Amino acid sequence: MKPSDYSLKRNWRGYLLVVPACIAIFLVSIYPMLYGISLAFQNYTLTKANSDDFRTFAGLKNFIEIFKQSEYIQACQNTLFWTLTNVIVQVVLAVLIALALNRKIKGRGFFRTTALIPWAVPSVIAALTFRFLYDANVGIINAVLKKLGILADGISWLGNLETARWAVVIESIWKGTPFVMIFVLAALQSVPHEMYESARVDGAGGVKTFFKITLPMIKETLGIATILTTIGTINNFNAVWLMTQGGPLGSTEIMFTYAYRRAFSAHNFGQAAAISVIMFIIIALCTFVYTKLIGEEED
Amino acid sequence: MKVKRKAMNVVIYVFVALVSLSAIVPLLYVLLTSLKTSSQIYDVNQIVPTSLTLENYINVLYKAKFLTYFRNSVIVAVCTTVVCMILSICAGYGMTRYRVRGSQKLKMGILYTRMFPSVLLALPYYVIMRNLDLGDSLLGLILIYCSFTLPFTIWNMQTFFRQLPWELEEAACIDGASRTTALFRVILPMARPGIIATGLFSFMTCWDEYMYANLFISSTSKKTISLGIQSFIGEYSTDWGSLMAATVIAMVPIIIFFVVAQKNLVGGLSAGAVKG
Repeated sequence: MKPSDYSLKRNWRGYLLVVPACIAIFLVSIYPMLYGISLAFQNYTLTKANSDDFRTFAGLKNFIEIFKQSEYIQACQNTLFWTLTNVIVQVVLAVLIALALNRKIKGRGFFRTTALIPWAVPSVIAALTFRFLYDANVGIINAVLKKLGILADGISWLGNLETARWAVVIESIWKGTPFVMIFVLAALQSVPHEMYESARVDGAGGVKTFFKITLPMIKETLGIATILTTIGTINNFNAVWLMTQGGPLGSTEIMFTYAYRRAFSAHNFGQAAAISVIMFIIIALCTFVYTKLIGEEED
Repeated sequence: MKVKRKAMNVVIYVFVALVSLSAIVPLLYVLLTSLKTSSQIYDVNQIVPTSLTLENYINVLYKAKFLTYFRNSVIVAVCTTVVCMILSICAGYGMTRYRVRGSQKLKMGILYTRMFPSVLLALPYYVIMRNLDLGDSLLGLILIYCSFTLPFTIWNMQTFFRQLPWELEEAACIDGASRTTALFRVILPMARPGIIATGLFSFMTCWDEYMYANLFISSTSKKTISLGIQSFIGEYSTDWGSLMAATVIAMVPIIIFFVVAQKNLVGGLSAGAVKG
């Protein structure tokens, strides 16, 4: 099949096929990204386009300035909370659901399909759906609570300082868990049945079997799913923006939405780019771990 | 022991039923609300309505510009997907079938471009689109959408092509088929499930995109569906009935994909992500 040498003479067709995609990737992805990174080191405020220092080299000024902003520090803390709660709850829940759906239960196909539905729902629609469910006047949560006489007036779950961040996290868990579940279920199905049999013969209970046999077998997949969820959660603009726009009082603001706000409300592209670069470094580290994990899978 | 097992079974069924319910109920309530009149929506005693109406759907389809939004989304998603699929099928085939120097490095590089925070690209694109005068246009949107679709499709196609049994191509060639014939008769048919899954994913991500569309599209005639839905949310009051009807309509293509190609999609997703 494959010729063993890399010579251009034998493989020119291959290069010809790969090159268009490479040029396209460079034009739509790499060049804008380099441009974006360069903005982080420039004085680039659109509203001050006529000032003398516009587009001049700024060194690390943008980075130093964002760390002086208390809103940015809050956005960092929120990002940490947002990512940790999302990833931990989604992974644990996904493992539990996958374990249940891997058993021979009646209606398994039906349950598997319905459990996947939130994954297929577009994120814009999921966010708007939950915004509706949480609404103080028309939301079903308030309607039920009022009907049961627990509440006299509706609570605005997304407008309330104590509840907003949890309300957004719940939507994100609803939307994200099935994705992790797909991975875990696929991994569980590849665990040989005999391994469970022999564990049962040895008298191991359900919990013990899980930690001694199942977990070691699915640990790589679990790692991959965790990393992908982490990246997806850090990048999850739609959920936050469409439900709260980072409010109330910045309580749901994450780094992504803050960078967006710095760029398109304050028109300070330099600072927005600086925040994006920090996010990019975090995500690149995650991606590096991911490449190691899929590399291991390959062998 | 037997009692314990039965109890365990009950717990599992209750758990699984709860999971399914929490997955479906929000969407069912959206569907139900889209069939209510506006006074029913605000009435606590009409959570389960006593009568249904199609008024909201008529409102969305005939009075609002929703069909335009729908059409724009289809144009953007289809064009982006077709362009990216052609480029990545070529690249995937080239990278697996031939010895191309640096393809492994290239592939890993592409993975990083897949993970970029999109806000990092939104800033330069804002400047680039203004310079190219593509600001408020579907063409500009298609270009931008390629920035996140293309890395994904290249990665997936390369992975699928590598898993194919290439010996079959060799066999076909020994039987006298040319390499081109072998490609169209043997390789592409085998790669079809992967191509379909990747294409559908790419369509779905474009269909769902909101941030770039919100930044770059300003005229009503060019809005995509994710923007169009927002038009029912006013600053002071929201037309919930129409919003919910619009939501249901916007989900139609996704529901069709899910029903037609669920196995394909799910299999394609995990295959593309766990193999390097």
